[in-house]
Amino acid sequence: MSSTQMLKGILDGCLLALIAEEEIYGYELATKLKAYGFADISEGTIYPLLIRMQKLGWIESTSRVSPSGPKRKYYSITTSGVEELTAFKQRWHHLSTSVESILKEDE
Amino acid sequence: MTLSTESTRFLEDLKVYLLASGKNEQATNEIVTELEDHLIEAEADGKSVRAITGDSPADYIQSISKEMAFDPKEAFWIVLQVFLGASSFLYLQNLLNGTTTFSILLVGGFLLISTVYLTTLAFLFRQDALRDGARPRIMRYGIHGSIHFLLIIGLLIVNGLIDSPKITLSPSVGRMIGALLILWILVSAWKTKTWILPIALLVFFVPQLLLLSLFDLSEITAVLVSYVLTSITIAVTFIRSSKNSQTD
Repeated sequence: MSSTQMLKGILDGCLLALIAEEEIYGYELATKLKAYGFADISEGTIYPLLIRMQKLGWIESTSRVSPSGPKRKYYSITTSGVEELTAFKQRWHHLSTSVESILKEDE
Repeated sequence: MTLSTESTRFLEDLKVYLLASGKNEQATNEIVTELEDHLIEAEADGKSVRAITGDSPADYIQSISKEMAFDPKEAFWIVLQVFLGASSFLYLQNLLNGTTTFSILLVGGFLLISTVYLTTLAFLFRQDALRDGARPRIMRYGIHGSIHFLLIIGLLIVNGLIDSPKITLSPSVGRMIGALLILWILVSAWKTKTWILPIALLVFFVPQLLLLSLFDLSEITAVLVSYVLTSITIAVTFIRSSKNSQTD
């Protein structure tokens, strides 16, 4: 299994965490993900996820004029997004602890 | 800041694919604008469209489409618009010939052919959009349109041979429906800022009226001359608009 496939399931939570930090737009979000080490993922991967998260009500968006020309969409987290992020953090903590302990046993 | 041809074509393909899949027009425009904004910054940073879409733009377009809901209201309006546009030629031609009687076979057959036309046209658009930046296969659209034109001619011939129940409108009701149809076409053209249908109708009917009144030609010759003129006008408009979109 490639690291891209492994990451897909947890990308939602990572995006939510970045959006929770500050209001952010697509390109900025993709650049931040890369800076955190998600270099294997093509930048466009975030957009289908953003559409889905918006449909689920976890994030909302506002459009504002950008210096580059077209209107820019800025995302911010909603109350239910904050709840989902908390749940994600718990799931991730549980999963990473379990994986870590299995890997330590192997060493 | 202008985008590269590759990025522009990708955005056009995405828009065509989503609209031909019955997605909401506003939501489609929103995601296209968002990706345009992304591509402008990405290209300024020296990245190509592949950095955004991954190895397969076609797969990427489909992944966006999967997350967007089918909008039945939007699809209904597109179908209604195209159906009324197509039927306007047939209806106004009958009105011009003084006919306000329509057989069930003609109306039903026309509805069926229009539905097949639209479904297959949407399929062609979607297929073209997934061909990874290749130019649209204009010839296929020409053949597709011609097949349906021949089907309509076939329907008219069969309609003349087979008797089926008829709907007869009084001349005043017939004219009123004709006027409403023209009004609808003009309002739609004004709203969508696309004047191809009113122009095509003018090119189709004005020469016919002139030929019939000035040269005493047979009706069928006048219709054929008008059909050729209309086809040329539509083809020229199509080629000019595709050239403009390539140079933009």
